[in-house]
Amino acid sequence: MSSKKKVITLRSSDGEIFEVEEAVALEWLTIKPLVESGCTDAIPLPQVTGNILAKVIEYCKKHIGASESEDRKILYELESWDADFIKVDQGTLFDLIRAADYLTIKTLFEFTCQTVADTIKHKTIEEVRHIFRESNDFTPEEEKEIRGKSWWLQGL
Amino acid sequence: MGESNSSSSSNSSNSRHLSRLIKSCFPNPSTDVLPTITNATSVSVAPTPTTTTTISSLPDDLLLLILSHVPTPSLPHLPSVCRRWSLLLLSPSFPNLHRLLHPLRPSLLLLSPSSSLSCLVPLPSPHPIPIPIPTRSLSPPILTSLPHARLVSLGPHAFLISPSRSFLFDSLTLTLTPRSPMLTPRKNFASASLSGKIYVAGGKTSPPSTVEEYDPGSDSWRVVASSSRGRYGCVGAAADGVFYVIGGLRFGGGREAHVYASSMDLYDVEAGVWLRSRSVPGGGCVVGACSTEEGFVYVLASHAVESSFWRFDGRRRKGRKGGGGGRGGFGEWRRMKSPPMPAQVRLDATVKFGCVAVGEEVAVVQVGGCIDDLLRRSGRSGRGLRGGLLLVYHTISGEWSRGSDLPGVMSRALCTSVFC
Repeated sequence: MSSKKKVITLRSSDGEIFEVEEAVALEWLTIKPLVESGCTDAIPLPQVTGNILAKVIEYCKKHIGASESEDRKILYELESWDADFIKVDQGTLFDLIRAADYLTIKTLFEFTCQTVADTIKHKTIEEVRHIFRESNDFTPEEEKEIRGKSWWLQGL
Repeated sequence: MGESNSSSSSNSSNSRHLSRLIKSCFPNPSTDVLPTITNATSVSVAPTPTTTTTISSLPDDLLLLILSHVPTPSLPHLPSVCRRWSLLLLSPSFPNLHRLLHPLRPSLLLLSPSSSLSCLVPLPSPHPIPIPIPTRSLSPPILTSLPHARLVSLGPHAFLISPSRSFLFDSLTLTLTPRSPMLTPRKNFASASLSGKIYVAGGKTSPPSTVEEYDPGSDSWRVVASSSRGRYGCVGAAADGVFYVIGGLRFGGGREAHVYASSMDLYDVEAGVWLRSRSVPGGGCVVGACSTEEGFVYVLASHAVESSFWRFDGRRRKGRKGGGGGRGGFGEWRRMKSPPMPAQVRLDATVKFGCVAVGEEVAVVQVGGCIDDLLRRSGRSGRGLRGGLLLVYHTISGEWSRGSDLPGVMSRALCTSVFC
């Protein structure tokens, strides 16, 4: 509502306090109604730790306005920045997905999901299991049966 | 015990704090957001900072969304990873979710005679990285027929045309299917697609030279025109209803067989007539050409020690979007920034390049020869860049960038763009 740059205070699960511009917070659909109602208290985000919240804010600050830009050069630079931003360990990446989902930040959610999907792409079953530390919990018969059932995914 | 107590009490205080906050902020708490927050807080997974989040700790809906972002070619074997993945991937809701979310991206497709090097390079990307195509996708029969073949883009498909055989390559399933061959077998000809149909012309044929049209719907070829000029090793492009037959060796005159033809013939597909032929301004030898969706034809020419890069305005229809329509127009040539070739490269008959428009980018791929000319001449061909140079021109910014080198010597590789 106000034309001045309003600052919103957020509190992470581990009690860290962050300040973001209202425009940034309005992109987070989960807290948007709180922000719009002119809430001045620190908004608690019990599902997001401080280090993750810092990353989320960093991403959203960079993307605000730029994602809608028509200028190819800006978009191109943004993509380059994103590539550096997402060079994080697997745990952080999944935490970012959870945070983006919890806060309903569509751009970050799509981007992080795509990053994980890109890791899975063109990998063998063993490679996928190894990367994500998943163990084979099938019996040999079950595994054979699953293979028989999976062919139709080719046609998607 | 004590620890769990304290954590639960801190949760409840959070919860209380939040509900107080919501009450203070919402006189009418009927918004969607309310249950989300309270629900999340009361459940509160209490993330322990010592353990890292793994894919197995993610809730089903999040894992399902992540998996739906995986491109189709990588899907079929994923249910075998573990029970949970198979349940999610084989659930009835997965196909719909996948179709909804999976965006098709333009990619550069490279099919190599050594099929283990065939790859897809997603573009645009600041750092294009080749993704190998599994060898099992490309059955041996195509390899022998590659040398004089051409590859044409057809949306998610690529059409592989060799002198006597044709194949449709589906880049979503990474499969090859045989299709009807051309009527006249030809080698090193021009090919391009226009409004869902494929056109071929030139190349080495038993005379007379013709233009053939292929309709993928009926899997049939027909001759649509005869061409006056024979061009061997020419390249094709298509923009705004015109099929361009560019460069190649002029032959037919007998003695002139080895003169590079730095000109292009224009066939108007809709009207069924040949338009006035044009010359590439700088002369030289046309080594590659392609056309973008906007209607521009890009031509890469070699002048022995240097290369030049040209743009031909092939936009024939007026009233195009964008205010820049006033300048230039159909038939205008413009010299663009030359590709940043490594020093001492000669684009001669030994070093070969493929030129492909991928979305708004033009990819120049080395598909033969050794890039390090000096080393090659002194017989030390084992060194230097032997076949993996990938340069990308961004048609909007007008800048070149260099992608990751391709996995190996892509000698005689065929390239085109596909959506996948």
